[in-house]
Amino acid sequence: MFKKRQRIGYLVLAVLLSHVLLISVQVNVSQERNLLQTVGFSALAGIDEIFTSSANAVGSVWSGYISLRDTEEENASLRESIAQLELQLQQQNALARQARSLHRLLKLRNSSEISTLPAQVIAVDATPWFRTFTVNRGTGDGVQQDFAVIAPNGVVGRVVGSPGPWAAKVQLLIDRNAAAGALIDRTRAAGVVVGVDGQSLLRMDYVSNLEDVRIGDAVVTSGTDGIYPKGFVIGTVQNVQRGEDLYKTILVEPVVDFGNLENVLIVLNDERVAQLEGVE
Amino acid sequence: MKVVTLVAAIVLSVTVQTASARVFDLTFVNIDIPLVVVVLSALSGGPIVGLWAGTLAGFLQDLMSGGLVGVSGLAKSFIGVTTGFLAKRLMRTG
Repeated sequence: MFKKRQRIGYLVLAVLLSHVLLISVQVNVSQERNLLQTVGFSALAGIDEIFTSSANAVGSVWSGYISLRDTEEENASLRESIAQLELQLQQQNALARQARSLHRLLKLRNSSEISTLPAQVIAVDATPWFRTFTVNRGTGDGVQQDFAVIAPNGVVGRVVGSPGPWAAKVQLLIDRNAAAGALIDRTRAAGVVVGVDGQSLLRMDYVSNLEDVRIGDAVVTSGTDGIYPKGFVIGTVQNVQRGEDLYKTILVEPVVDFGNLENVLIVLNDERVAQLEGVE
Repeated sequence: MKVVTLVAAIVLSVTVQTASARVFDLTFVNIDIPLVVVVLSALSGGPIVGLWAGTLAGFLQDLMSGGLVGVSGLAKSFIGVTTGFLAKRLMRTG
């Protein structure tokens, strides 16, 4: 019994001593040359890799199938969030467009010497024979009949009928009953621009066949009609033909996109106001 | 057969110890699984089994750790032997 215990003691001592020796040997050997560790590590790393691959496979089955139970609800929730965000994005885009439009309008208002009043388009007339829209300014803001309405890029039309206290009807330049005194900007050839029935183009009448008019020439207001201020762009010549009588047949493409107008400026014609007040 | 089972258990415990943390995130438990195997083998097999189990488990752990080989072996061998002796004494007195 004693010998057995003594034998175990020697064995324990030998093993522990061998461990100490092993440690002491490695202290003086650099890590790069530690062959024992390199071989042993490689062998165990192989086993490790197999185990990890198996565990990963189990893990992927878990995450790929079992935990997919909540995915349907999560998907529905995310779709709802996306729909809300898209709605918000559209609202923000609309606000940005409006801001840009107002910015252009403000620039025009500051740059022109004439007195203007900003107005917002609040209704559009859908009938094809009459091209009009309603703005949120009326007699309460000083708006009177035949006041010109302009946009940042050109002439829009004029106030028609009797404006209400808070709203007024605007006849677009493309209305078949609309007309404006005009000039070919390059040659200063005068004429009258009128709306063409059923078309989004304008026609320029009373320009002599002798005048030099080319496609692409800018057409501006002449100011002779007493409604539109002088020098504002109406459009560009799209087609010009020699007429059978004394005058050319000129088609003008308006610069204003009448379909997308949101904000406009009403030209406050002080002379016109004084005239109207004098009549009354 | 017992030896093969013990070696397999130790190798498996070391593998689980080193690989499982990457897969199952057992860091909050912080258990030395090979040491558990060493203690269990020492309790059932006595000081000699505990000595060799501790030596092997420590050796393998040291190989995987990248440090000095023998440090864990020394500690685990000592724990294995001590546990084996204590187990024998407790079983005798108890």
